[in-house]
Order: sequence, then C-alpha cells, then structure tokens
Amino acid sequence: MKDGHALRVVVGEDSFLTREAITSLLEDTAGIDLVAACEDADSLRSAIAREEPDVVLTDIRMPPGHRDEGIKLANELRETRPEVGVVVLSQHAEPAYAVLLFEDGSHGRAYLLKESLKDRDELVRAVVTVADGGSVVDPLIVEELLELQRRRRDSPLDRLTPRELEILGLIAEGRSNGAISEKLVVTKRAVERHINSIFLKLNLRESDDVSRRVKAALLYLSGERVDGS
Amino acid sequence: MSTHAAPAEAAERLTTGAPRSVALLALAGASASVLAGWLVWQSPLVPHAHVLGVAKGLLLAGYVAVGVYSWARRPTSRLGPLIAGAGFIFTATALTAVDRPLPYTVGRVALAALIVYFAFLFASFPRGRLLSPVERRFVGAAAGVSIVLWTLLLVFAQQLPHGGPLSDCTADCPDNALQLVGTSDSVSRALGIVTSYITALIAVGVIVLLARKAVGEPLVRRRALTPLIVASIFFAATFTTYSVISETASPPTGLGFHIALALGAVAVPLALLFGQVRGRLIATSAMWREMSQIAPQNVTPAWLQGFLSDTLGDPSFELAFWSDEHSGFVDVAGEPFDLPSPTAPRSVTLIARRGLPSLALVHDIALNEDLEMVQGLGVTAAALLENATLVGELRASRARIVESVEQERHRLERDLHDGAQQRLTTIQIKLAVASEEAEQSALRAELEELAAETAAAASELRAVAHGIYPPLLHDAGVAPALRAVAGRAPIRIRMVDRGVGRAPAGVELAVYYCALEALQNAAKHGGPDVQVVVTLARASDEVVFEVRDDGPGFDPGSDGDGIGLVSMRDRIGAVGGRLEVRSAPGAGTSVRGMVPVS
Repeated sequence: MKDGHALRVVVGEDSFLTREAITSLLEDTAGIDLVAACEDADSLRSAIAREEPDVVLTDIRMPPGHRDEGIKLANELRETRPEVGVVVLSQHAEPAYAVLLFEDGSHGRAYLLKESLKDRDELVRAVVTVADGGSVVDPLIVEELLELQRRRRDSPLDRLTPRELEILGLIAEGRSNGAISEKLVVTKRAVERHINSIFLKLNLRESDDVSRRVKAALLYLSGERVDGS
Repeated sequence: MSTHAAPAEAAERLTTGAPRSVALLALAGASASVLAGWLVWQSPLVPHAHVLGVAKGLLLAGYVAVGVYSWARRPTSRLGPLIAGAGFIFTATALTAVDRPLPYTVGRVALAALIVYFAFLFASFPRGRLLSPVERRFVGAAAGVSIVLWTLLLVFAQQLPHGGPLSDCTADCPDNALQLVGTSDSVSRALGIVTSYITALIAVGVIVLLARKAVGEPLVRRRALTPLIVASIFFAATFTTYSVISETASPPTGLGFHIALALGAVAVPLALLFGQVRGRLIATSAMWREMSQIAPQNVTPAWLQGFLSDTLGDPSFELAFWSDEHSGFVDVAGEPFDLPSPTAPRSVTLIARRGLPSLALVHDIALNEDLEMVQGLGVTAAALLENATLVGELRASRARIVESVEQERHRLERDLHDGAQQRLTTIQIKLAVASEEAEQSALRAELEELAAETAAAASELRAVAHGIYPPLLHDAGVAPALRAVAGRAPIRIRMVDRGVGRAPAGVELAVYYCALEALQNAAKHGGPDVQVVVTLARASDEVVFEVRDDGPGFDPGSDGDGIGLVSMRDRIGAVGGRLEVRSAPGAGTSVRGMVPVS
C-alpha cells in the first residue's frame, strides 16, 4: 500500500493463459488494484498513460517485436515516469536480463521468473518493493548463480562464511538491511557488519544505496567484477 | 552483327601471317650485313678495317633482326619492315668504304638519306606511321632541306662534307663523282658546315618529337617510348657533337668518344626491341602482383575495369560483360552496353571462355599494337571474374543454408516459449492457487507434488529452448550471451569486450557458436583448472573474436581435433569470415576469428 491507498497495477502479458493466471492472482490480493491487463507493448503504453499506475507488471517478450520490449519499456519509464515501479516477468532464468534491466539503475525495478508466479507472496513482495523504490531479483536466479560460483575452484566465495554467503544472496535478491535482519532474525547492526565483511573480502566497493548494491552483487555473481581491479 | 567486325579484324591481326616473307627478309638482311661488313673489312680507307668491318656487319644485322622480330610478331604493323629498312640503307652507306669516287658518292648520299630515314623511323615509333601534323611536317622538312642541300653539294662541291661517325671513310676520302660546276675549296667547306648544322638540327628535332610524344601518349605507349628516347638522346648527342667538331675542326680521335659512338649506335636497335617488350612486361607483372593480392570477394566489375585501365595506361578503357539475360553486353553497372562501331577510334577485343562470349575490352586503338597483351589481360580478368563469381555463389549458398537453419531454430525456440512454456507456467500458477484453496491435506500434498513435477518440466524445457537458440543472443548480442555462458561455465572464463556491439543475426550466431565450441573444447581438454580469456572486438568492418586458453594445447598438424575445427570453420566461413587456430602441445590454444560486417 502506498500512502494508504491500494497500489494501482497495470499488467502486460501476451499469452492469454498467463495473463488470466496473473489476473486471478492479483484480483484476490488486498492492497492491490489491478486496473488494466494488456496483450502487447503498444496497448500497455497507452494503458500506462491513461491509468497512471503505481506499478507496471510486464512480460519481457511481447508483440510486435517479440524481443525485449518489457526491458525497453522499463528503461523508457525511468525517463518519462520515474515514480512508476516495474516488475519484469521472464521465462529466461538469465541474470544477464536482470543486468540489462538494471543498466540505468535498479531503483524501483524487479526481475521475476514466471515460474515464481506460483508463489503469490513472491509476486506481491515484488510489486510492493518496486512501488517503494526497491529492487527484487528472483531468488531462483540468485540461488543458481551462487551454486555455480561455489562449484568453481578457487572461487573468491570460498572466503565467505556460510552466513555471509546467505547474506550475499539476499543482497542480490534486492533485500534491504532491515529485511535481511528480519529474515535471519539478527540485529540490523549484525547485518551491517556482515555486509562490510563480505564487500571487503570480495574487494567490492560498498554502497549504502540498496538498489545499487543489488547490481554490484548480481554482476559479481555473474562472473563479472565491477570493482575496477 | 556489325559490332563483331572490329573484333574479327583484331583477331586477324594476331594470326602469324606471311612466314615466307619474314624468312626472305631475314635472309636478305643477313646477306646485306655480310656484304656491308666485307666492304669495310677490305677497305684501304678504313683504319682497323677488320674490326670495324665485323662491328658494322653486326650492327646492321642487329637492325634487321629487330625488324624481323617485330614483323613476325605483328605482321600488319609497318614497324618491323621499317626497322629492317634502316638496316638496308645502312648497308648502302658501307659504299663510303670504297676508294673510288662514284661508289663513295652514292654511299654518302645513302648516309644523308639514312639520317632522314632515322628521323622518320623515330618519329613514327612505335606505330610505324606519322600520326600528328607536327610529326609529318618535321619529317617532310628534314627530307626537303636535305634534298636541296645535297643537290647543291652534288652539283658544286668537289669534296663532300665529312660523313660524321656513321661514315666509314674518315680521312682522305674520294672526291664528289657527280660534280658539275667547279668551285673553290671554300664552297665545299661552307656547304659542309651548313650540312653538319642541319644534321644537328634534325637530331635535336627528333629528340624533341620523341619527348613530346612520350608526354602525350597513354602510359603503355610511354613505357614503349622511354628506352628509345634515352637511347636516341645518347646517340644523337654523340653523333651531333662528333659531326660538328669534325666539320669545324678535325675529327676527334679520343678512344672514349669512339666507344660512346659505338654504344649509341647499338643502343638504338636494342631500345626499339626493348620498348616493344617492356610495355607487356610491366603490364603482366602488374597483373600478377595484383592478382596475388586480391581476395576473390573484392574482384568486382568496377574494380577490374579500373585495374585494367591503370595497367594498360588507357583512361578511356571500358570493360563490358556478356549477359545472357540481355543477349548482349552490359557495362560495370549492369546497363546495356553498345560496342563502338568499327569506324570509332576505339578498338574492341573480345574474350571468350569455353567458346562462350565473356568479356569485351574496349580500348584505345593505340593498344592494337599490343593486342596479345590486351588479350592476355582480358583472359586473366575473365578467369578472375569467374572465380570471384563462383566463390560468391558458394558463399551465398552456404550463407543461405546457415540462415535457414538459424531461422528454423529461432522459430522453434519461440514456439516453445510462446506455447509449451507459457502453458506450463499457467499450470504451475493454477496448481499453486488450487493447493492454497485445497482443504484436504492429502489433496494439497498431491497438488504440491504435481507443482514440483511441473516446475521440473518447465526448467528442463527452458534449458532445451535455450540450447536451440539462446534468447539473450537475439536480444542483447554476442557479448552478453557469451558472458552468460561464462557465468554458467564450470571453468574460469574472463570476458573482455572491446565494444563488439551488435552485428547481423547470422554473424552473431556464427561467432557465438564458434566461441561456444572453443570454450567447450577448452573445458574438455583443459580440465577444471583451465583459464580462458574470451576477447570480442570490432574493427572498422569486422567482428573479431578470440578464445585463448592455457590448456594442454595440441599439434595443429595432427587431425585429432578435426571435426570440431571443421564445424567452427564452416560456421565462420558461411558468413564470409576466416578462422585462425594456433596451438602447440603445452602452449595452450588460441582460436581467433574475423567476420566482415558491411
């Protein structure tokens, strides 16, 4: 909920079945007001102009181009309507798309796999987080990345304690320090100490801005260093 | 067809005709050279008569030989007989070695005629015709002045003027046998001095004419003229200096001077020969040089026309190509092309390949003198063009096959994404909703199990779709797609992207799969510790990629890794690129590819 009123959400999804499924999920959710469901990028754009939603929930691939219209739209909205949050839904368990989405900043952006839609709480968390200016990366993606990194020999992740690894994952998912402390049932101070230690061990530049550190963590886990070393 | 008249005529020029006339000329030339040599050999007037006799015979034989060669090579050109003719007049000058007034006088007149003849020969080289009015006027004037002067000399002079270095008698020569009016010595002297200056003027005039011609002619003519200009300047300078000194003072006796004169005289026939051969030598060597450099895809009609125009030194040169579609010739732009009429100042050389018309070379008539060269260049050009066409067709056909395969993969991936994957997603969502709403715990457990099964199926299907055509490649390009691969790979892969950017889909796919293959090889042979660097870059018109590992490497000579390399080469070759694989046992492997993007 934003300022006491229900979050106005517009959905863009070209598959009828998926659109119906998303609609049924959101319609029953308190605090979310589904105002339009569109089947292509153009009608989604006009719905956004007409309805002035708080959050846009969009597929990556949509007619007419069937490419990465969802990400393009999200980047467009950063210019035209910076206050609007965007949740991009994707079939691709590909962190690179999340990186593309976060190219101009991850503020108010979420990257969610369609298979995570089965978990209504995950979807609602993403909608509420982006409305608040936060970021979300699907936990499935982060989990896969962590798994791949750990399998490597001489992975710098070997230097992290299990607790630190867990926290790195939560950072990559876009969780705030508060959310992390809540989830792990530790104090916020303890979370901050862990985060300092992680960034030091991985030689990453620390940032207080949660959405910026999402991207850093994500890029790091994708195998690309952003520390400038 | 009237347009074929010119090529037919041209083809006729090439047939080696009149071998009997050529043989007769050679025989006559040989006899004349022997006769002239003998006249000098036994002359009481000539010092070192034996040596000079042999030298004279050889010199004359040289002129005749060059003339015979030119004639045999180009029977329709007058150049050959003209050069041989100089040899025969030279023979007549050997009469100056006879110690009797009448033969001596005839020999001296022949010598005067030879100078005018040389003026004509040089001015008409290499066509054998005087073409410009200036050339005609100059030769006419030289002949006219010589006739007037020699009429005066023969009538009035008791002693004919010194014949210069070409005369065999140098001192105490016989008197003028034809003198009609007796005069004093001073008249002979005065006329002699006038003669030597006129001769000098003619020599200078010839040099000026040759130089003038060399500047105005197309390059190929200039190449033919340069040797003659150099030789004739040398010859005329020594000749004139000698004549003037002989007439005004006494004949120079320095050995160096005689050697210079002999060299000058020999240089002229050699230059006439060399000039004819040189144009062809230069053109063919330029052709070979260019041919060994040019890549087949760069051989375009326009390039060929420009290249032949430069090589032949003919700026007006045009190349026309036979087109079955038009049943006629087309120009470099593919527009119908009319061959010039036989009366136009341009010639056509037709080139056929396996009995079918292929090329028409439209060139300056000046090049008719070098028709074998034009034909040779034309045949080579046609072969180059045919090769380029075949290479282009092969490449296009490979590219079409690759492209249709890629399109099919893309379509499959999309069908999966839009169909089966979406359905599975929907089922997952519905199962989740249903299990939330299920009241019986047994049913709920059942539904959750189904949901887990469906999730596994969705994940497998996603992997299949990704393998068929990585969506990231389509959406974001080679660098992000390979970076995603690097992120997933069990080995350490460092990505260096020097701004490769986007390229046509076919190129991106070829580079992606080729790099993927190289990465898989690196992992397979290098084990878990291998380190790989993938570099992507964009040159001005090329996508460049390199996959370099520090693995065990292999001997590129052996064919252990053959199939993987062949498929990589095929992929890159189909989009017009090239692949370099460098490796050595213990030194890692580098796979480097370059693909042109227009």
